[in-house]
Amino acid sequence: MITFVESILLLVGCALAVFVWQELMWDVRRRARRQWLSRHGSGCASHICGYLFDDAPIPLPETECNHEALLELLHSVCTLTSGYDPRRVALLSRRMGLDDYLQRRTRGRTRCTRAVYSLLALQTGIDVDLRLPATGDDLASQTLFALSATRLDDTDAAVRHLAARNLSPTSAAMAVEMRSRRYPLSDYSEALHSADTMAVRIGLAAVRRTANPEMTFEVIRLVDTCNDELLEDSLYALVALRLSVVRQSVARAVAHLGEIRRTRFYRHLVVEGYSSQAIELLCRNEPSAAIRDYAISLGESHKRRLDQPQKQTVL
Amino acid sequence: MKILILAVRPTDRYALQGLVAPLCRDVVVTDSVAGLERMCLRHRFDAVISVGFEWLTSGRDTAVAVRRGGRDCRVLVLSEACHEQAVLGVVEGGVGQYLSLPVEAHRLRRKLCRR
Repeated sequence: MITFVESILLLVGCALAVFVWQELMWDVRRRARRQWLSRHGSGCASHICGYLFDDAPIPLPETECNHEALLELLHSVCTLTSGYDPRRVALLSRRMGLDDYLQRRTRGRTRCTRAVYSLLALQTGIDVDLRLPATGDDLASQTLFALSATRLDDTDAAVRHLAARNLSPTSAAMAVEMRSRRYPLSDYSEALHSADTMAVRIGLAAVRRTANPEMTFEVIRLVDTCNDELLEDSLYALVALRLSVVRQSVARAVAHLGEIRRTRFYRHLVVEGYSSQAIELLCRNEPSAAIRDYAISLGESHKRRLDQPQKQTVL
Repeated sequence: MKILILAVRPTDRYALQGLVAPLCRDVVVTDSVAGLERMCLRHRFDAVISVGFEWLTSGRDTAVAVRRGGRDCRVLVLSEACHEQAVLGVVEGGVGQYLSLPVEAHRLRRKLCRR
């Protein structure tokens, strides 16, 4: 008869064994990937680049192909470069067997890192069936779902498609970033006028990305509206457009943020090159003296070098 | 033409190697700043391509080692789009060209070929 303590020890032992086994397998995979890259990486990259940019014939699949390494390599080529035909990447991936590999990886409940990694490859045009479980807060499935919208030619349809899902600001920004790689981020004014908060969030992410001055009035209107859910997005969009922050509406909107977010926003203003005077004026109504002093001193230290008169060298 | 590539990720190094392969076969890759310094002190390169510019802002004298070859050595930095001041700092630090990622393959090759 197994006692309670023995059963606990058995469970702990099993968990440890599983952990060690997983680590071992991970190490074996990593070594195999590294070895394959050192042997075939250079030649394979030359073939891929030749096919994508120089109209060379499509490379033949390697006999001993490490799909993970090949996927990394293709991802690197597509991340570093632009101007390639996505259809060629899709054809290449099909020929190399990456489609099936990605299907296997993204099936079921995937780990976040795996899914994000795969979706980065997916943005290049590899066609994978995105039948993922629609679990509420699963970032992996959300980002993959967001990615599928980047394949829609029509901007409004893509925004509707993305807005149907509860995306975080980071996921929305990521989706917009991916979309910008294939389609120009031209007209998001309809998204900014939408009654749907999520659609407006996506529109603001596009404004932050492009800093399109045509969206100035929409962004100011959103800051004036002071919608709690979109407060931070609209403030950062305002900064991205390099608009003045010395406004009543901006001060009111900043006051609605928490302490950490206010500090982060002031730091962002300094980094974006706003004058110490503008930051000081914005901080007039700052309730926390520590944050006010921090923001002002940060702005001044950042600008001190510029404010100091240049020393004249007398020869 | 002799090119040195600095990139931390191995796949980035191979990708860049594949990208510049039509221009020259003499490509040396390194994954660290120390390797970059060592290579520049040993050999003369026509061009240095770096993914990221941390080595210019870390306070090391890497730029001196890279510029040892004189003005003929073209230094290209590939990085994510960043703030204007940072780009100016990089250019002042001795970089010939700053290209934001993703970069067009033919543009990169043209930059390397230009004398």
